Amino acid sequence: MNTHDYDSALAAYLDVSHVHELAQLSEEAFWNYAQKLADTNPAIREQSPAQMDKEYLECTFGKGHFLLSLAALYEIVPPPRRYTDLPDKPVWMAGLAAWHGSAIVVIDLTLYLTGDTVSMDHALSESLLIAHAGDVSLGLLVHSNSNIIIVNDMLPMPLDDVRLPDTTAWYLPTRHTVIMGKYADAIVLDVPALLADIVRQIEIAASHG
Amino acid sequence: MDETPTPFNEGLSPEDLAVLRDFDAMEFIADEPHEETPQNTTKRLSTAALPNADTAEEFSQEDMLLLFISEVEEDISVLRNGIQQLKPGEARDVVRIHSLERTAHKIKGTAGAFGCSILSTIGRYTETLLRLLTQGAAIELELLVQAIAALEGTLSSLVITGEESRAALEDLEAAFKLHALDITVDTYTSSPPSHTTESNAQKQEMSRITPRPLQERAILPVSVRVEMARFEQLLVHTGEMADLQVPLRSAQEQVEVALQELHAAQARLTRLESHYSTFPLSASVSDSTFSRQDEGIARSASSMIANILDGAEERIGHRYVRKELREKGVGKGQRGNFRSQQFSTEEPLYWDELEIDRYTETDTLKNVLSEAIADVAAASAQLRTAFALLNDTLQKQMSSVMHVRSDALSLHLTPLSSLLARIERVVAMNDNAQQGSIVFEVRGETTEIDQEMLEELKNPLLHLARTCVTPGLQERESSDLAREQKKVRVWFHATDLGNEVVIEIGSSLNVESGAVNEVQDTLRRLHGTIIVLRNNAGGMSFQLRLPRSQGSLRGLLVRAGSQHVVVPFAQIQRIDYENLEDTLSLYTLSNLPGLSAEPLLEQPKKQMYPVLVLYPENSGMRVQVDAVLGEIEQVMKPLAAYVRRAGIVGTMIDDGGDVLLVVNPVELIRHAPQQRHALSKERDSVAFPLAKSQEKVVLVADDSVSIRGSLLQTLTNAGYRAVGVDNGMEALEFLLDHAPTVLLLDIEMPYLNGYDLLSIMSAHEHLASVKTIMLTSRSSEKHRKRAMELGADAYLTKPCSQDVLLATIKSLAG
Repeated sequence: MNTHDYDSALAAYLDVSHVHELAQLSEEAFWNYAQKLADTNPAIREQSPAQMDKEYLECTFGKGHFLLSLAALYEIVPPPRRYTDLPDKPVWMAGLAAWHGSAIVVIDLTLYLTGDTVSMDHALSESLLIAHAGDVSLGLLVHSNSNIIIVNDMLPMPLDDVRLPDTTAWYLPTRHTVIMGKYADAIVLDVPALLADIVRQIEIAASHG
Repeated sequence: MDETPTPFNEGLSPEDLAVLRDFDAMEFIADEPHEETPQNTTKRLSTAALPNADTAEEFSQEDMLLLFISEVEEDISVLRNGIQQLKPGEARDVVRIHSLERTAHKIKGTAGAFGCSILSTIGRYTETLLRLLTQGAAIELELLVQAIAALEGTLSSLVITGEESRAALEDLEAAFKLHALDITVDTYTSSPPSHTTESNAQKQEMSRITPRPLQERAILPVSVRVEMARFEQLLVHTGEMADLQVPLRSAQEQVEVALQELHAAQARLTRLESHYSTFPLSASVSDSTFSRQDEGIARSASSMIANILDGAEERIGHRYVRKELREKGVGKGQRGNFRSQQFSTEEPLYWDELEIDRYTETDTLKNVLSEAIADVAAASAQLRTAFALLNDTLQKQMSSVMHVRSDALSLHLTPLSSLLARIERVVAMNDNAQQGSIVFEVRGETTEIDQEMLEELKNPLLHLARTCVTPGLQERESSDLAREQKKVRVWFHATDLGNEVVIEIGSSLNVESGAVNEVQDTLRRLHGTIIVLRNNAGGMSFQLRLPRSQGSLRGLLVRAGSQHVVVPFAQIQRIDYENLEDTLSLYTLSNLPGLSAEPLLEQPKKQMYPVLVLYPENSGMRVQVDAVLGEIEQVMKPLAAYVRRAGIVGTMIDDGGDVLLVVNPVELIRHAPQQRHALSKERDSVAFPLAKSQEKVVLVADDSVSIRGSLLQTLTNAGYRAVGVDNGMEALEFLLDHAPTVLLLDIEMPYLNGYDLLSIMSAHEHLASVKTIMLTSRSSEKHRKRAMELGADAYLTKPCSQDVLLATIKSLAG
């Protein structure tokens, strides 16, 4: 099914390969799996705030993977066919795109996190995550495979990492301020902090040309 | 009236109390005429019940009325501002509400004294609501807002028609009923309260007013005034849109029918194709048959016949040979060569359809195939026609939707002329006006602006108008004779630039300082800017630039580099096609994605380019673009604050779902790096011919000659290059040309005071690096706080020792 450490039975996979895997299960294994999902689904459907907070979107790309809280995402949509350029923008800002009749800023999240255009695997699917925090809504472009998982026991960032960012990590050391914690080997992004940092950097880019 | 101090009048001066006593005494007068007035009639404005006949004799009736209107306007403004600061759910600031209560009380009294019973009643309602608020009753703030609106509406009707309209009062009373507030009983036709004590009156009033629990109340919607003509236009366009439903449905049905027919024809063709494919050599035959039609059906037909005969032979074991070939001896033991011979023969075999014995299965198939192909072609044509009709109808519907949207947005708009009457009154009430020395000019009063924005702007504009008719200190110091001979010009000019509205209020007078500081907060809230200019008439002008909030905008869609951008029509005088030989005032937008309009420095190729010639108000600049793509009318929305860029005023979404930037070429030019660099270089060379590159410049803005002289001396001795100016306007003019290292700024100065200047400086990016030290005799904390809020870096009070001053400058200048 999946090589991740967390319980695969609780994961709702978005990729087609999972459907094939299901097709290959024996009847007994399939019904056991269905039973497990049936046991968990009502909890998911009811969507109590606490449970919603546990749902994360896991984005996996060549260098690593990161999680974003689903509660902070409005929508996941296909990326726009083109972006409108804006002067004095950071390199990781793709541009402006239309969303629900308004122009929103779209940033390349993978590029923002890694600072590395080479690392992007364009064979991976592109999705646009519409994230919101406070009165800011942004489009986060991700090149990755995405799954929805439930995170029960996220670990906060180790204090050492907070004080002295890990320079060997796949993400830029300066991005440690937008990381809320770790789950298995994935980093969990703090969406409000992420959006605040993006806004701040766009403002800085404007004032410094 | 009971003179026992109550929470209401505690802390008032004896003068205030005397005024209140007068107002209370007037209540009797205020209510009395109303009792005599039938409910459904209004009362003409009169001065019959003026409180003080001695005072009244000193003024004409007209003067008194103007004063009364102006006073009530100011009181309403105080109430509105005060109520805006009350936030739902927050703890009530009782002191502030008491102050508002006093203001409402004053309106009630003065209006009653002037026989304006409806205004007086609304004033009383407002006062009561505020009193209930202080007593902890759950009063919706919306009710207070509506009460203020009722005061404004009634005053407005009084000004325009000379009569009070009852409409606003009735609306307000209806709102009370909706909120289950029994506030209207007795109050409108109340007997004089002079026989009861204040506290008893309050108790009675409280017993009448029993607010319902909050959850039982309906929520009053926030309302805007809507011009009937606009509303009717909206209805017409909505009707047109609804009418399009039938043709749209019909067009959709036609497409569906055409699609079904096409599918049927295609299915038939597919069936025939599969049938045909069962024939041997069908592939080669089909190639030769249908792709080489010009070579003749005869040849292909013959091969098909051969195929059929071969197929039949295989199925039933009987061999067929055509007559002509049999005659040539083909077919006897030559089956293997039949096909090659048949193909190689040059003699054409013609098929005569009337020759029944030759009419084979293949010919039938051929005919059916031809029919099927013709059916597909016909169905395709029908589908194309249906699609064209659907597209046409959809275009009409889109156009209709745009009209409806535009109409709906325009409901929020109102012409600036709706405020002009008040501005004119302000001008007319000035002393100079009464001597007939002021000429008031108006231009662009039909320019439209959001109602909410105009509401916010009302007081700032009135304030600026008052400023423009009030001579400043220096103006007053000029000789009386010169002043008397001077005809004062005051103007109100408005221009719609599409994406923003520019309002200029100017005067040929040198006016009082402090106006900018007064209006700055409102303008910031509205994302607007204010600049102050010396004008050609020898006075000062205030130019307000206000972005239009959402609204439909018509503009020219142009290509600049790889991007499509929109330039509002309101900025374009005409489009020329030029060889670009004359590069004077010519800029190009084509260096996107930098998206700044750069001066055209190099001679371009001899080619015709579209050049947008901007209106003379925009310095007659010309902007070259790569192509003009057409016109566009869409809703423009502002960008989020953190992505706003100079010269980009908003965005539109085009039909393809792409974001288009709406640009202001003039602003782009103003902020173009090369242009800025060129300008500053030119100015520096003129202003500082001897300035060394490392020299630090300190600008001293102080109207005191002695202090300025002393500061200049101190600074020069300390190695700074010091420049002095004696008023805020000169300081601003210097700052617009140069960015000194440090600005030493006094607060009290002519034309523009220190606060004004700080406010204006904050709107100029190139002045962000200037360190400002306030040097003033005002030592109170509120002045310090205000200056720091406006961007001052340090605050020193006079007298200030040289050491402290130089240390502060050094710490800031580095």
